[in-house]
Amino acid sequence: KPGQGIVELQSPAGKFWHTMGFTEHGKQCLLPEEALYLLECGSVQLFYRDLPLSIQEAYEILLAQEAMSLPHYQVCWELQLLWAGEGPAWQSSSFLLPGRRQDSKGVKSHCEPLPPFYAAASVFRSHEKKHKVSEGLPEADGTSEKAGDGCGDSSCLPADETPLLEQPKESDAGSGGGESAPVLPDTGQEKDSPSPSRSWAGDHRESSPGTRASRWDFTTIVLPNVAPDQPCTRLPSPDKGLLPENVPGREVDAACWCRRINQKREKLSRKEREQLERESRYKSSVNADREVRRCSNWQEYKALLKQRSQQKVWRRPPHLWDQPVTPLLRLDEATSSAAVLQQISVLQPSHILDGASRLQEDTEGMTIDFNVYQADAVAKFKKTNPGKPYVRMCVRSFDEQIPSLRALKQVTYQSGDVPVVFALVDHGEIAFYSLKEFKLPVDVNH
Amino acid sequence: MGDPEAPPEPLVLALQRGRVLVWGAAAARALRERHRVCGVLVGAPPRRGAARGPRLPLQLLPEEARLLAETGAAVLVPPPEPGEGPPPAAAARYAAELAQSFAEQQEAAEGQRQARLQHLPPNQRPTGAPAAALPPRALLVQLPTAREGPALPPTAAPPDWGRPAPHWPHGGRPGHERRYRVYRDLWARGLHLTAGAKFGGDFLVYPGPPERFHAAAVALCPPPGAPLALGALVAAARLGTHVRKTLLLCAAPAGGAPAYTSLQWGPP
Repeated sequence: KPGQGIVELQSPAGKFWHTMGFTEHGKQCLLPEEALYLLECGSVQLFYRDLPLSIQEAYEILLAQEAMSLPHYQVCWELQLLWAGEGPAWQSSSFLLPGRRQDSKGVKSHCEPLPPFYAAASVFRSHEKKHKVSEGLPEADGTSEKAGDGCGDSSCLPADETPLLEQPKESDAGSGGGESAPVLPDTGQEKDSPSPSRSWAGDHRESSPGTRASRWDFTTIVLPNVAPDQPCTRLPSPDKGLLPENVPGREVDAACWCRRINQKREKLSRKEREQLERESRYKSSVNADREVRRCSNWQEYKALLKQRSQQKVWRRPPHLWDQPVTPLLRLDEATSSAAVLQQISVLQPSHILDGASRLQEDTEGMTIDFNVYQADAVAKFKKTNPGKPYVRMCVRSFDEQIPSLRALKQVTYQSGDVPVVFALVDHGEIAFYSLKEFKLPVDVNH
Repeated sequence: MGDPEAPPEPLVLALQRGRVLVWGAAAARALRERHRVCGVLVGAPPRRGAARGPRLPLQLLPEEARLLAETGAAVLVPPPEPGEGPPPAAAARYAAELAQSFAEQQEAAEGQRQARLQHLPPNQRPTGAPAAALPPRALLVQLPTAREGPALPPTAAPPDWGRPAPHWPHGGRPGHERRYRVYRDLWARGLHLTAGAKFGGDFLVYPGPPERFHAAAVALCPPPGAPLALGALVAAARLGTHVRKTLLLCAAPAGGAPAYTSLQWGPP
């Protein structure tokens, strides 16, 4: 049926029905490229207007549309050959962004090491980011965990596009994802903060069981679950009585924030992992400080910090600090060469997804042509529930320009967690290319 | 029989949206043997089976197709318009052919079965009326590769080479024109040329048929007048050296004589 671009099956389908074809209005149908491939294999015979089609005619009729052309088709069967045996299934899918969000991986990302960029904020914030609440969680059995929004302060961190969302390791109680440490407003700033502030105060309380009886009963407080499997993004306005002073709360729709977070899993090299382990042995978390634990709410904690900062007496040499151009670092901030490097570095590490959410309105970018699913025993592919694709494919030809960074960002963002491979077709030769990102090594030996 | 001196029938090249495919096996062979045009076989091979190699159709470079059309050796035929369709008699004729083929196959199957039964000892032969040796579903059907019927429509005019058309988008493109002039000149010298994208060039130049020779050179046709970055030049030359081919920089201006520069990387 050239009008709709599909082929209808008259007799029941055979073995290929596992991976190809779909059902529409109760009839089994095939997409044009699937039908053409099966015709060349000899598994089906195509009829058009009651006459059988020769392969040439089938090529001309089925590949006449814009969406499916000869290079696409060549990539299709080339993929079938490469993964021999059953072959992967392909699905030409058009992307709808809201739908994609359901499939993207959870918002887990590593807590440490943070890229130097984010820790460039004040010392206070970096302490708080290392705060792990997981030890307090086993008590909170019945509640669903919340992946808080760490993005409320994008104006604090200069040019910050994708705030790295934190999720500590899952608690052993198996109560779902971990609690995140939301980034809270600084002392001097009035900011709207969504309801995480309430849970932060409560959890802080939880982490000091034994010193004070908990004011919060977690069995009755329900923390909304913002993880992608059951997103609950409309957060109601928080109760005024629970918020610290100077912090107005409001109802927030976290959907737009969820899109902006880094959805790609960060792959650390072995060296980075070893460094992580080393650091975790020697660095202490904020919770270990007894004075911090004695604070029962946010006010007291802030007061403690203020008191501490006043205790530090350091002299500022006037010839350095009273001029228009001041040094980048204070003496007490230079704790390690990493801290020094942060201040003096000119290049900022950027992520492929930085700013990608902004680009979604621009529709002139590339679109993804196929999803390729692996067909081995591990991956259970069902047509109705394909699962996560192994790789996504964009078909291009050698004549075209290398895709621009903007187009790359769009495509990577649309793809979520799945790597994108470019299939370059030129006159029968197909080559597969993919972009790999890596972090430049930072010379910090500690 | 035609006059042996008469030029052979022009071959038919199917043209669709700028891609040229050859569907006839005889035509593909003639192209390779007589016209020194070697395309690429791009048909999907079967997943299982003895014949795992590449299959028809043969895809040609636009430059190759244009050369063949201009020399009159072939005709570019776009796909037919979806008109009112084949006459109703065609369907009836197909059904009749199918029925006849089925009858013949059934006869052959019956004959085979009888032959097999002869070999069995008499007490094991089945008694009773034999069922049909060939059920209708087991009918062997041949899928024709090329379109049947007269391949050359009566009105097949060559596309206008200078202007882009829906089925010939290469018309008027300076890149295509440049490459075509170089291709025509090199082909006229008796060399074989194929697509050079594998080695980062425009063409691969062979002294003889590609099945028997290794490529001697990678031909690159940079745009005239534009400065060629030294880095790109070094990259191309290095690549050529690494695969033991000469790098050929070609320039064929429209009015003048073509000029070629060959580069070989060697010790000083």
